Amino acid sequence: MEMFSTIKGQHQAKELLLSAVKSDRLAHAYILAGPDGSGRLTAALDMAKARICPVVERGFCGSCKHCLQIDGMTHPDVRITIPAMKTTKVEDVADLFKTRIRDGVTPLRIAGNTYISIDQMREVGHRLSRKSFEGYGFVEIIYDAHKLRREAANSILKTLEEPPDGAMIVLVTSRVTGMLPTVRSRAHTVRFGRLTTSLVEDLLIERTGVSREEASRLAVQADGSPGKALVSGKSKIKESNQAVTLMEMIFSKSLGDMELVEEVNTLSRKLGRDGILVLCSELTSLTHDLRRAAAGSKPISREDVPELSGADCETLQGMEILFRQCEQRLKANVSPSMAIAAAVVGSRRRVR
Amino acid sequence: MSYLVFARKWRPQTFSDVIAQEHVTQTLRNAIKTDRIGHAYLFTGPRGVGKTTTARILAKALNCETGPTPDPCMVCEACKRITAGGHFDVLEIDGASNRGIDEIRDLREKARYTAAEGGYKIYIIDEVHMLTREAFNALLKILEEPPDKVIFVFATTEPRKVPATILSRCQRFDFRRIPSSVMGTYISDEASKEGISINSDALTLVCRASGGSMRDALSVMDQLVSFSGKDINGESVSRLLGLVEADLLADISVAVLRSQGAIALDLVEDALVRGYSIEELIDALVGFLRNLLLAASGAEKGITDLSDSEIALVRQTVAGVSDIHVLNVLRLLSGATDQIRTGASPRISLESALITASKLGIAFGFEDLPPVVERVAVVAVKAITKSEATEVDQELPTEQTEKTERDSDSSSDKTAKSEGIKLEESVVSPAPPQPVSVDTPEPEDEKKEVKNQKDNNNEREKENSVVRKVSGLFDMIPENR
Repeated sequence: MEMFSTIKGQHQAKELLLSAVKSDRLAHAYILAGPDGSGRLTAALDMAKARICPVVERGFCGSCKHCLQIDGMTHPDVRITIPAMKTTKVEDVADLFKTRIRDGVTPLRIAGNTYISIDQMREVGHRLSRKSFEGYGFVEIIYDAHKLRREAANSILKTLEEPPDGAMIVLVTSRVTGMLPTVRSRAHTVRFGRLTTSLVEDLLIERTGVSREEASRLAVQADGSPGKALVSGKSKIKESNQAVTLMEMIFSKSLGDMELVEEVNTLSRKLGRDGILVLCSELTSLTHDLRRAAAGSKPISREDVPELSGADCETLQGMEILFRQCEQRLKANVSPSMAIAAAVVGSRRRVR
Repeated sequence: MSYLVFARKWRPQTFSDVIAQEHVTQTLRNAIKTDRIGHAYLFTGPRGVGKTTTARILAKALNCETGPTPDPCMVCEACKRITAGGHFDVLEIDGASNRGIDEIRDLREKARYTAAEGGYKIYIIDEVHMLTREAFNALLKILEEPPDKVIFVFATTEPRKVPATILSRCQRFDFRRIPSSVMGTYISDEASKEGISINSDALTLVCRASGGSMRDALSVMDQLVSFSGKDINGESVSRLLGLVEADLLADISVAVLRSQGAIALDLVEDALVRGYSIEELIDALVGFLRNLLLAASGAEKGITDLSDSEIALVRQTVAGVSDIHVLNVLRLLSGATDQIRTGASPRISLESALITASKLGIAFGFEDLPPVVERVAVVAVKAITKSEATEVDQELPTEQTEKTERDSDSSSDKTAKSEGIKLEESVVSPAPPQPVSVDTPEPEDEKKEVKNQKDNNNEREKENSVVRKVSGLFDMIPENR
C-alpha cells in the first residue's frame, strides 16, 4: 500500500519521510510539526506501520494484523501518549480514540487536560526498556508534545538521544518553538504546512457532504485549518452578508447616527447575543481584510472586499480595536444591543 | 540493527576528535598527564556541542587498561565497553528522570563500594539541572570528599539552575558554540568519508541552520542524505529547510522597521503555508526583536543564545535603526501575544499588530521628529510674539484664562501658564509620555473666539493629527490603555 496516500497535500513532508523509508534511513526520533488537521498523526501511524509491518520491506501492506492494529490504535508496541491527568476517566479517553479512528480528524485532546506529566514519560521509558511484544520494535507517539511539562521533557532527553535498538519516538506538535531546544536538537523536524483552500474544500465535501459553494465559503473562512472548517461545516452557520451591509451603513454619508442606532437595535433584537457575537467577529475580520486591502495585500477570510470611501488604514485600525473590544464586552455579559451600538457609533466617529 | 543517525555514528571517541572545545580537552588531557585529576567536573554549554561526549571520553581515558592516559587505546576491553555503554564502573545517569532524593541516596550508598574492575568509578549525571533541591543537597557531602577513585561528571545546559554549593565543589568547564567555519570543515570531512559530497553553498546553509550546535547540523545532514542522496547542493538544502528561521524573522523585522507592511504580511503568509503556527511565529518574532533591541541599544552582552552567524544577522538587520523604534515594535508585538493566545482570531491579531507596527515609522517619524519639533518651536515663537502684541488688549475673555489654568495642569509645558493663546500649542508638545488621547474635547469655543488665528488652525490640525496618530498607536499597547 502506498505510504501517506491518505494525507492531502504536504508534498515536501511526504517526500522527505518517504525517501527516508525507501532508503531505510528512518531516524530514531522525529518531530512532526504543523497546524492541527494537517495530517501529522496519520503520518506518524504510517511511519509506525512502515517500521513494524513484516510483510513489505521499506513500506507497509495495510492488510496484515500489525497494520490493522496500528490503524485501530490497538497495537501493543505502538503507543500514543496524549496530555491526560490521572483523574481523567479511562472511558473518556477510549471514547476520544474511537471518535478519532472513526472520523480521522478529531484532535486527541480532552478539555482541561493541558499537559503531559513526568509520570507519563517515565512510563514510556519503562516500556522502551523491555522487549517489544511482537518483536518488531517499538513506536512511541507523543501527541501535543509542546505540552510536555519541563520535567517531563527533560526526562525523555536521554531516551530521545539514544533509544533502545528498534525503537522510534515520534513527537507530534503544533508549536515546535514551544519545545525545549535540547529536545528539538535530538529529533528530526518535519514541517507540515497549512492546507490550501481548494484542499480544505475537497476535504469538506468528502467528509460532511456539503455543497461545493458552501464548502468553498467555509474553506475560505477556515484559513487553512480543515479541523476548523469541519466543525463549522457541521454546525452550519447560515450565510450572512450582514457584516458587509452594516459596514456599508457605517461608511454611508446619507445615513444619520440615530437611524444607524435604530438599525443596530432591530438587528440585535433579531439575532440575540450569540448572533451579535458572530456578527461582531465577522465585522472584525472584515475590518481586517479592508485593512489588508489598504496595505496592498489580498483579504484572508473572503474572496473580495467591498469598496468603501474613507476606509484608510488608520480609521480601520481604530475600528478593529473597537470591534474587538465589543467582542470582549459581549463575552463579559454586556447588553448586546448596547455593546454593538457603541462599537458602530464609535466606528462612525472614526470615519468622519 | 536499525539505522544509526550521523549524530550518534560520528560521535567523537577521543579528545582530539572533539572539535572547537580545545580549552576543555587540552585542560583535561594535561590534568590526566600530570596526574591531577579532580573528583568532580561540571560541563556546561548549549545543546549539541559535546558535553556528554567529553564526559564519556574522560571516563575512557581514566579507565583504559593502558592506565589513565590522555589518549585511550580504543582496543582494550574497557575502552570497547565504555564505547558501547556497558562498563560496570562508568554509570551514566539521567538526572532528569532520576531526580529525587531517594535516587541520590541510593547512589551515595553504592559509591562507597570500590570499582568492580579496579579502576575509577565514574558517575556521569546528565541533565543535572533537573535534580530537586533536596537531591542536590544530598549530594553535597559526598561531592566534597568522595571515596577514593570516585569521580563525578555533571553535564547540563542550564548551569544557573545548579546551586552555588554544588558549583563551588566542581571544576567547571564551559563548552562553546561551534563556529561555522570549524563545523563546515568537520562536516565535509566526515561526509566525504561516507562518500557523500556536499558543496559549499549547502554547507553554509546547514551551518547557519544549526545555530552552532553540531547535533542540529548532523540531524539536518541526515535528512538531506535521505532526501537527495549522496550529492548535496544548495538547492536541495533550501528546498528541505525552506528559509532558515532566523532569516525569515530578520526579513519580517526589516519589513516592519522599514514601514513595508505589505511585505511583512506576505512573509507571514509564506511562513504559515510552510507550517509555522501563529503562536510560534509571534514567539520567535518577539525573541528576535529582543535581540535586535539589545543590539540597537549597544548591550550586546545580553545576546547569549546565538551563534556567530546569527549575531552578524542581528547586527545587519538593526543597522541604522534607533533602539526606541525597535522597542515600540517589540511592545506592540508582545502586547499582541496575549490577544493571540486568548482571542478568537489569532491571525488577525498578529497581522493587525504587524500593520500597526509597520506604521510606527511613519507616525512617530523618528526621522521626521526634528522637523516637527522645529515646527512646534516656530509656532510657539509666533504665539509669544503675537501675545506680546496683544498684551495690552484687554478684551481677552476671562473664561479663556480659566481654561488655560485648568489645561496647563495636565500639560507639561509650564510657559503655557502665563499666556492664554499659547495654550493650544501646548497640545502639540511632542511625544508626551501619555499622549493626548483622542477623546480630549476640542476647545471649540475658543476656535470661534480667536479668529485671527485661523491660519494657525490649519497647522494645528496637522500637528494634532500627528498626536492623534501617535495616541491611536498607543491604544494598541495594553499597558497604555
